[in-house]
Amino acid sequence: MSLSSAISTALSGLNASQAGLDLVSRNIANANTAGYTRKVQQTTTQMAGSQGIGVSQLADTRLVNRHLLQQMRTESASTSFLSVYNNFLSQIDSSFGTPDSDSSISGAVSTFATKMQAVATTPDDDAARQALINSASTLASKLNSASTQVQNLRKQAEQSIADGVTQANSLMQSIAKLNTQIAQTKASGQSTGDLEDQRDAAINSLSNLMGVKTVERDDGTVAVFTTGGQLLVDNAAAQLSFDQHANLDAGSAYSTDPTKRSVGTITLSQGTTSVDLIASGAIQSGSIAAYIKLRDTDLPQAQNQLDELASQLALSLSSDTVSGTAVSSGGGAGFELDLSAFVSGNTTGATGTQVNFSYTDGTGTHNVSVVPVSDPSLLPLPNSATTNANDTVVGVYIDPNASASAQMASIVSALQAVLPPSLVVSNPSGNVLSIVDDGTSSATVNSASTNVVENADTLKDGLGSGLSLFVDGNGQKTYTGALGTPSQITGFAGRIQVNAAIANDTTSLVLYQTGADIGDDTRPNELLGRLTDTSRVYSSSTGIGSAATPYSGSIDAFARRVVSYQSSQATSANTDYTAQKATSDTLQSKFDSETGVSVDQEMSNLIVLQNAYAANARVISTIQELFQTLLSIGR
Amino acid sequence: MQISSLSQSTAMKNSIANIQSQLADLQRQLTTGHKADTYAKLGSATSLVLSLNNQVTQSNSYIDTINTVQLRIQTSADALTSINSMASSIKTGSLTSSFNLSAGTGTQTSFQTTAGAYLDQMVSLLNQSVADRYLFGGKDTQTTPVVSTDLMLNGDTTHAGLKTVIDERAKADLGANGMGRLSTSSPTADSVSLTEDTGVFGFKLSSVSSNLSGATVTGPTGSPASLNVQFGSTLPTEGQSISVDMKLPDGTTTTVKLTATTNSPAGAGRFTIGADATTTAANFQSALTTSIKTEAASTLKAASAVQAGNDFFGNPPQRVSGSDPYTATSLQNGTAADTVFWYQGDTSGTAGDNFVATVGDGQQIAYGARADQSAIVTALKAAAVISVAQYSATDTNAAASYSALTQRTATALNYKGTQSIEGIVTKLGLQSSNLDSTKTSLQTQISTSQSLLGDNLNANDYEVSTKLTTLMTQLQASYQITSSLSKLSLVSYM
Repeated sequence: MSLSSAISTALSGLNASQAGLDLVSRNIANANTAGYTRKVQQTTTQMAGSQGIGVSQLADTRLVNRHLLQQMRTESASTSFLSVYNNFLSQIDSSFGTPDSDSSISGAVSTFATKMQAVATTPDDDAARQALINSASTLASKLNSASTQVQNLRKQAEQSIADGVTQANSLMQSIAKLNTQIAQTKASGQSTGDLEDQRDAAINSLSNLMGVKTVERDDGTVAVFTTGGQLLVDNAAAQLSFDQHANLDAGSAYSTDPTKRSVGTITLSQGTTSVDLIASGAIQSGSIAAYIKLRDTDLPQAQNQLDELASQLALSLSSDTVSGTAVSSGGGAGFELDLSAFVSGNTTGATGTQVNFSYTDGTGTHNVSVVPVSDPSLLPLPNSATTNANDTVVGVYIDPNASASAQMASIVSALQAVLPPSLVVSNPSGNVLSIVDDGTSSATVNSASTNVVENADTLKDGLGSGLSLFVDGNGQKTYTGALGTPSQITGFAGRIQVNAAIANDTTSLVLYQTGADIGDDTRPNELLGRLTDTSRVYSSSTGIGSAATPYSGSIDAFARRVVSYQSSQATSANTDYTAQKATSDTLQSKFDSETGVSVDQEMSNLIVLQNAYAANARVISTIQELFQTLLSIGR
Repeated sequence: MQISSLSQSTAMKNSIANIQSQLADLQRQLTTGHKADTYAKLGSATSLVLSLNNQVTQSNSYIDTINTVQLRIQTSADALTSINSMASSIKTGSLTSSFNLSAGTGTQTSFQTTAGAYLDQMVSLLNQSVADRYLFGGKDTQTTPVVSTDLMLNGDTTHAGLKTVIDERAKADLGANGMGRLSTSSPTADSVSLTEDTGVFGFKLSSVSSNLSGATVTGPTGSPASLNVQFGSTLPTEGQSISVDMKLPDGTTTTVKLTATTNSPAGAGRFTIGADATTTAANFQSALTTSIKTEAASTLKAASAVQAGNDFFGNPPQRVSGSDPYTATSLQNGTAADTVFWYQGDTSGTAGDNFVATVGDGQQIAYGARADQSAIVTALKAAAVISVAQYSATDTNAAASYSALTQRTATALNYKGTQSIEGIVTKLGLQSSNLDSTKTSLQTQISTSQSLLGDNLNANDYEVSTKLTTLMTQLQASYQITSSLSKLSLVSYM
């Protein structure tokens, strides 16, 4: 024990106070820096043997609740997800216009129906017919622009995924670099607080992009994984890549099969291995997950709804059911159908889309729908190929280059193959298909009919009373909803147009047959009924209705359903987002409160440090006095 | 627990931003008057609002249709009411007018001139249009349904009008000798035969009754029918008579009655009983010939004109076949090349009810009247036939012929057992009043829908203002606290 050792002890106190003041100044300076955590000075008694010889400073530490931090990240990633999701869905919702203006697609369908009604009342009024064509064009262009918007949003999502991946890569690089620095700094016993703050900020940003989990290592580094468990960063960062597709349309879709995929996917490469992160479902949260879900699920569903609406709208006006003729041959009875509209050399002015019949045998009543396809790879067709939930669908490949008789033969054999032998399918003459029972068993054919679509250029004297008011694309193609790769319905909402031949000569809205008068309300009344009264069945691929009980209703009812479906999606996305944001805000605020800088506290620390400094200085000055006293003894 | 300065200020910023966005939304509500500017903000009310909007649009379009249809029905009904009152006047005129040829024409009575004027009016009423749409042409709304009266009656160089058709028919029915296509003969000296001509024209013998003593009456039998009166040794006595019932072209019948008399000359409708059967037969034959000629020139002529009217107003019009009407035996269809088709409109389906209007969900009415509906044609025909008949002051049968014509017209205009114009008007009126009640219920529906829409769409000003005030107070308090808190720092007290 000596005065000199007291001086050095007091000096170490002065140093500690100075370091403390330095820390306070740094804390105060960063009081408003987001992500800065309060650093706390760590001191311990400096020992010399068993003797304390002053105060020793340790590296500053930060007080972070690891559990709270992970929870905050998880919630914050969900918030980013919902924020993006809400943003996109609200854009679709906004495209319907304000509720009071009734300018949505559903409003356009209503208007179209009222104009049709006006023509039915006054078919000879040129202005009324023109107004009908205008409202049909408005409806078509509303469907076009809604479809374009959906596809633009998908492109935007694709672009955002690309941006997100770029950001994620640079964040992962930063994290890896910081990991190295922290390990080195920690090994040298220095404070790693600020580096950790930076690393946390980078991990938070990464988590907002794609939702990550972290595992801390003893050397101070952190390993980052996707929620699905793929390692993103350890000592080195993995590489994410995204093969962005510039042109997305309604036909572009994600597939785990790279040859069928027509949108981009995120690939994680580490060393020689690479993983498709979308296929493995690794990205469940964060904004990238939201963009993927929008691009691959929600927006395609919205497109499906628009396509279904456009398809049903066109078909409601253009398709006709032609009933078969009852025949009896031998002991059997059944029906004959003229399939001229289905085979080569078709001059009926219509295109056959389905042959439907129903028969009863010992096992009950069966409905069979025969659907012709021009691409054999589509076979066999699933029962969902038609919207009817209670039918057995028989796909028949009709070789477009074959002769009518060969085509008839393939229909006969395909049909006979799925029917009980007690029903006889044949092609007695020409393009006639005959389905009769054998007269001895209990099987009977109940009904038979064909479904045809009047061709775009059949404006009068058609097979039925339909009219192709809406056509497919600039080529004015007849819309039949033909199956294929892609099927005609895919993206039809973006292509639907008013038949130019009718727009140019509006009298075809009325003159349904040669010799009909322009004052004849038969056709407009028929079309009006098809539009507003006839109940149609809608595909469950739209998310409206289920496969077992598909949604059925008039066209205008379905249009309303589409609008309310999309707006309710937006409503719930908004509700979810608001609730989620409140949760993550609360956590963030709790975290910030716990780890952030309180200026008041720092100020009170300042006073304490000031006092400590003064006290240590006082000790030194006292020791100096003592030394002087001691020295003066010798004088 | 410490509260970091950053979290304090962030929380404050967040809550102020939140209040400000709420304020902006309330402000929007106040200025636009609408609760929501997107369907999503409407929440669960979206479906209701969409279907109410659709209902209002739909109902309004039904009302538009009803208004248009009502205008048509009302105009049609008004026109038909006028036509009906003219038809009534013609009927009354037919029953009351006497045969006085007017000085102006010299060939027609003043009633006939009036009927001609009525015909003009009827045609012009039937050619009425509403908004460039002819009302009485059925589905053919762009063609004048009825040709002009002049063309209808007079035809043109290539097309026969009503006058020509009547003339031809009169010739065919009366025959060259004015015997109504009958001929008398005496197969034996003491018998007389009356025989029809082949074909559809002229008198057709239907029955004969006689109480002439000693005379044997046979027939009418055979085809063409013929009857025979065989006088015997016993001669008829004074006052005994024989009546021959004959069918006329228009389906009516007439009777020629000859009474035996001892007077000589016998006088009209009588024959002188001769000394024996042979002279009596000769007297009878000549009296019969005279009577038939008189009947032909009066009643048959009128009936022929009426039937010619039926022929002309039929679809297609019927014309006397062959080049010489006097010897014609049948009718043939008139063609657009040789005959005026009075009705130019649509002839498909059944006349009337040719339009279908949708006036409610699944509610349709068929409506309309057509110029070729039988009740209307009857009125037109009556006016036309009367207006074209011409008489000569010197013709002794003219008065009887005129009277036969007017009687027939009056009978036709009674509409006994057929639909009358009044019937059509009544039906239109009922439809109109049904439409009225449909309209009223649609209007009620619209106002209910609109009030529901209002409840769901419109912002309540009171509610919005109250919320605004509350928020403003809240915001003020927040600002105040922010400012107080900013002063509350240890820094200020050191």
